[in-house]
Amino acid sequence: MAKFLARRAFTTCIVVILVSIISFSIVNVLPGDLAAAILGEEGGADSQRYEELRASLGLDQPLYIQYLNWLTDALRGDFGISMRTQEDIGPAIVSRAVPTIQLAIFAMALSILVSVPVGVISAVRQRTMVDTGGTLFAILGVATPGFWLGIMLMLVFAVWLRWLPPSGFVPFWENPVEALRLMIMPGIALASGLTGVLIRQVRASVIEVLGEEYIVAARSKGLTERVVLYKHAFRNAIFPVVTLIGLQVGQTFGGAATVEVVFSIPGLGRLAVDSIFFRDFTMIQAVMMFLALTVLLTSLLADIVYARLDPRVRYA
Amino acid sequence: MDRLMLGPRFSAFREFVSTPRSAVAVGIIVVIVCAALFADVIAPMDPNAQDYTVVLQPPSLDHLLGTDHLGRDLLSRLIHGSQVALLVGVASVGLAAVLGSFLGLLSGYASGLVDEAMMRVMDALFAFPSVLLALGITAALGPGTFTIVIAIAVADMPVFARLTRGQVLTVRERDFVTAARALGAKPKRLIFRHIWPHVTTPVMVMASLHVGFAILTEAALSFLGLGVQPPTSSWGGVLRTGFAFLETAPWLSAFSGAAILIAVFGLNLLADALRDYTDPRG
Amino acid sequence: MSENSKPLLLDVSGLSISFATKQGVVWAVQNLSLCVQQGETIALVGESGSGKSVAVRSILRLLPKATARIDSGRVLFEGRDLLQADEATMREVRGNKIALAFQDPMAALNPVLTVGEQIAEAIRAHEELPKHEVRERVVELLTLVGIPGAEDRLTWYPHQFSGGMRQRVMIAIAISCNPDVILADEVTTALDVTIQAQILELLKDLASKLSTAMVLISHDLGVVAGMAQRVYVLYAGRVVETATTDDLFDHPSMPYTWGLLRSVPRLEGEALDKLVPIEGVPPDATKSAKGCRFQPRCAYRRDICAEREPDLLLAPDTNEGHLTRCWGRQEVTEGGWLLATDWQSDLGDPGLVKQIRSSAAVGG
Repeated sequence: MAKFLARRAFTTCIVVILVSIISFSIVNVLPGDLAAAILGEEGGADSQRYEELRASLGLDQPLYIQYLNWLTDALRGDFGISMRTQEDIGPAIVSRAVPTIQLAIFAMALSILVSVPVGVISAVRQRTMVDTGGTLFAILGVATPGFWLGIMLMLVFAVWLRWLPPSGFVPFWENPVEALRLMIMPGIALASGLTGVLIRQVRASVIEVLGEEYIVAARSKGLTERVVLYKHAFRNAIFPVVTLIGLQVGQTFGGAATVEVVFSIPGLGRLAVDSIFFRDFTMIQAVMMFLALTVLLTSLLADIVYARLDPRVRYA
Repeated sequence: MDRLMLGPRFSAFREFVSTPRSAVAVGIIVVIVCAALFADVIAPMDPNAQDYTVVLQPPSLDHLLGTDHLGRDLLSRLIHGSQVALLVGVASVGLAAVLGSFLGLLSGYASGLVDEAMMRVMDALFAFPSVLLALGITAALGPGTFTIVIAIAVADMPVFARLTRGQVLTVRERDFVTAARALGAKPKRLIFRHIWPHVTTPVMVMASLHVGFAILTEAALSFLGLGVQPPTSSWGGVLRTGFAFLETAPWLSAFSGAAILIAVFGLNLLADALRDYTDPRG
Repeated sequence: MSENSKPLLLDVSGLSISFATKQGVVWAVQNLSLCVQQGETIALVGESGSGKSVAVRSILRLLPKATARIDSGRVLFEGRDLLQADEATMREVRGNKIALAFQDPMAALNPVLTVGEQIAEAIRAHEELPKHEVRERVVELLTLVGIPGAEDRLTWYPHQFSGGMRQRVMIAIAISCNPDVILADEVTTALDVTIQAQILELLKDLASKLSTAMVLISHDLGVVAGMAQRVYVLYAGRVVETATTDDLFDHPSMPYTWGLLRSVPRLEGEALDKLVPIEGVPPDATKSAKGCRFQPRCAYRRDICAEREPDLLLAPDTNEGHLTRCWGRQEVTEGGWLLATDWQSDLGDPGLVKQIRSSAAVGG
């Protein structure tokens, strides 16, 4: 296992470097540069201020030096200063990451709780009405724009019925009940796509595992169907599901952008959207870098979990 | 004579649409494609005609799906919105599929360091949530339809590259490819004559699925105000307006979202049906 | 079969099984009857696809519910018809009274559970024992099947064992509840030849030690020779010949059995000059034909063979209980032309052999 993880960690490092290059260069393919953007329309005319600012930002250096400077600062947690709010980007991102991560964890937990039983039942009752219903539910989940589902939930439960607060955010550890009330609608909105994808994967892998010889062998011992399903089948069917969850973390963060806008949640997604409107490029760079790194780390984590769960990898 | 002319392709199509699932899928897609192609004919009104006497009207016989804050007919706007959805969906995924498959073929065939390097770049692109990558590209290129197409294409490229590479790796070990190589077939010929045909089917299936996802991404970006710019009518754009008037005119949000849902649902069903239909294991 | 003094343990009669597949209905087993006495070993022999595995799995009702259908038949065990029994009864029988050992232990052992657990759960399914006693039993079983250092290997996973060792684990699971019958489904096929002999020896040893009856399934008459008291030869889902093992080897009664015997290397007795393969390929089980199922590959066939299927009848001039399904060996009108044939010298009509070979080359 050590060998497998070492290789995995090594490739992750390489990908991290590539991610940083992409994050850095996306903003630098812009026409014009940061100094001009900071100074705005009227300041751009003042060529002396412009040159001074360029020098202080290091923009007079070659691009690769700029990149290396940015990267070494970033590695120390220093992403520079927001062009819009003048605040330190590092702490700003950390504080905005809290709502996004809380929401993402809630949504993923929700969708695992729904998709596992639905997928398993669909697989066991393959080609019955139950299965058709489960599959239809899954496709609807994938096809529904999450933020639209959020808007519709808001319309019904906040605007019409007034059962739930329409928007806002409270950290879970400050007020768990209120946090849950606030997260239910955005959570469902964010979970819908993931739930659809997971149901299909759970169903497919349970069906595949149920066709394996060791399932017949388990039945031939006189075990109950419950034990066969949950001890023998599910433990094997879970591996592709774990991998998929790891891969879907990124999509969940991506979906969070619109959902956060709908429900006025001060998270990273909204930060990214606002930053684009205000052409706050240093912030966009940092948010992209941060989210991509989170995605890479969670998928590394998913692989570690996989390796722990599967003895064939653990003892390899 | 009809029969002779239509030939086996037609009967294959008949067989394909004979299941309820694929019939529904094809039905939805035909309706949307027609709406997009003949929008000017079908739409009851000019989608951009403003009429301040009928602002924010609920659905009625005059305006089947109601009107927006400028008195524009919602049904007409949604019918025209299908053009943007289809254009962005097909163009971006087409671009992603072509570029991605090309890289995947190259990567899978070259193997070694080239393969490793290309795949790591794909991993890096894949690490960015597609909406976020699209946001970043929008930041760089400025909002607009062209930006969206590029953004989605870049975000989707790794999917096709990985898929194609995987197929190539499986196929190239198969006997007939080994045999062709032993007989001295040149790499180019090997790829296009022997390997490419085995790659096209899974790529088609994946593409039909991703056209749906691209429509979702386009809707998300337009909803955020970073996608297709007004006054061009897009489903996400209508939803953006609708959200602003959620309490007074909920039909705007409801119908525009439903249009997205139905289109993506149809494409997902189609991808599903195509996969089952083309999967030799049945 | 009046010579049988021991009580009948398992009595299968008239069993027919079909599968619904995309290519159509597959008639896997047709009108199969067999019986097993206490402590007896019988063997089912036939090529792959002849329905052996399907037949034994149906005894425990382990066929896939979605596709398999039992069209007719009875499986009497302890006075009950297992085909009519409820799930609870079947669970009680499975593993406890009738155990199944599998062909490929790598596929039949769950990759994510330790072997200790996989044996222990078989015991726990039928007996309530304290934890340490279960553990002792598992160690005992592993030792019994010849796995050294059993104590330490309880926590091993299947992939950590060699193929032969895995098959020993599989057998340990099969005997864990001391069943009355073990159904051994091609247990040696996946193994190296030297390991095969060891596993067969182990099975034979255990069967006599525990006085367990055994249904041995194999495609190899050689494997069966030293193990079984009675052999059933299956072809295309039907029994085509059955006899005591000695009788079958000494007086095989129909062309398919002859073919099987000719393709087995024999060390003792009057050796043939060379191995002779059975020409052609097994029939497509989705197509029903009206004549004898082996007739397309038979070098002794006559017109009647393609018209009507022969019954499984007592073979003339043989011992009691020797049944055969062949027109050429039955004293009926139009039949009986093979009664005097010496199978070791007469290989059938050479013209027919050539014809079968060429049609198989085209069809295959």
